[in-house]
Amino acid sequence: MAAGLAGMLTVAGCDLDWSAAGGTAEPTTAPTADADSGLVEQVQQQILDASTRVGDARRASPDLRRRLRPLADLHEAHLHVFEGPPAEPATGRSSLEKVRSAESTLQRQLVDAAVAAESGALAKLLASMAAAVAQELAVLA
Amino acid sequence: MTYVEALQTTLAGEHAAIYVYGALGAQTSQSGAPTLYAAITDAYEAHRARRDQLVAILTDLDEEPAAAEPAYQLPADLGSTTAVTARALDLERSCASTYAYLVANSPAAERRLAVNLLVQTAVRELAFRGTPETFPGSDEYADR
Repeated sequence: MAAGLAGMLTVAGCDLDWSAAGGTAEPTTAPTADADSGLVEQVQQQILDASTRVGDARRASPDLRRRLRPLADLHEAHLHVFEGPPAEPATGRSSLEKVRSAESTLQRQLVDAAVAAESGALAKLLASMAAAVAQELAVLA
Repeated sequence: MTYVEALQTTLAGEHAAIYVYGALGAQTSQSGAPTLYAAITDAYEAHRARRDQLVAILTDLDEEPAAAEPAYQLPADLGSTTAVTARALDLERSCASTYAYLVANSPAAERRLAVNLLVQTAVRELAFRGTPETFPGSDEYADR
């Protein structure tokens, strides 16, 4: 957990390498090191929750196992940015509709989190994640 | 970079996108490639609406909106539907980067518009044979 939190603070705070962000992003405010740490932790849990839904659906159906692979990979990549734990194995069954519903919720949560972020760089990252989820939802439609 | 500067940069991008989409539409047959024609028309209208929205925001801020250039450099190869589709995808990806830039440089109270523009453009990429990305508009995170 400590490593995960350290990762969150790196993303949320002043340690972000602006030059690595293509030189386009500057903070609109001067964030403190922990200004967004609570928000990041919340978003991480929301991604984990959606990831659990995807895992349930993939285990329930061979067809969904293949079809939802991109979403599973997407969640893993997004969690990796926060250096958080990988998605936990989930049990039980779910349906594609439940996955869509969970992903729609996650997309809205990511948009809201992007709007709420103190750091402009974190806002950009979260907005990009929301856009990625929207793309996957469009493919699943 | 201030919010107004980011808005002006985004507006300049919309001017260019409208111009290029006009050219892409002119190269696309409505009868021969109806799906592509419809996608280009939708994109053209969407970017016109965004331009108007950005002009209104800047005007409300007592700023002079950036004017369109007389002309923009067009892609050289527009001789096939494949080429037109590829250029449209390039254009939307470029717009996604611009909107992500606007997100990063918008105050929280004004940020939702930019976030929604990024989401909409990312989905629009799919109409031009784009495939889902891990970080649309933010390629700097892709290799992490």
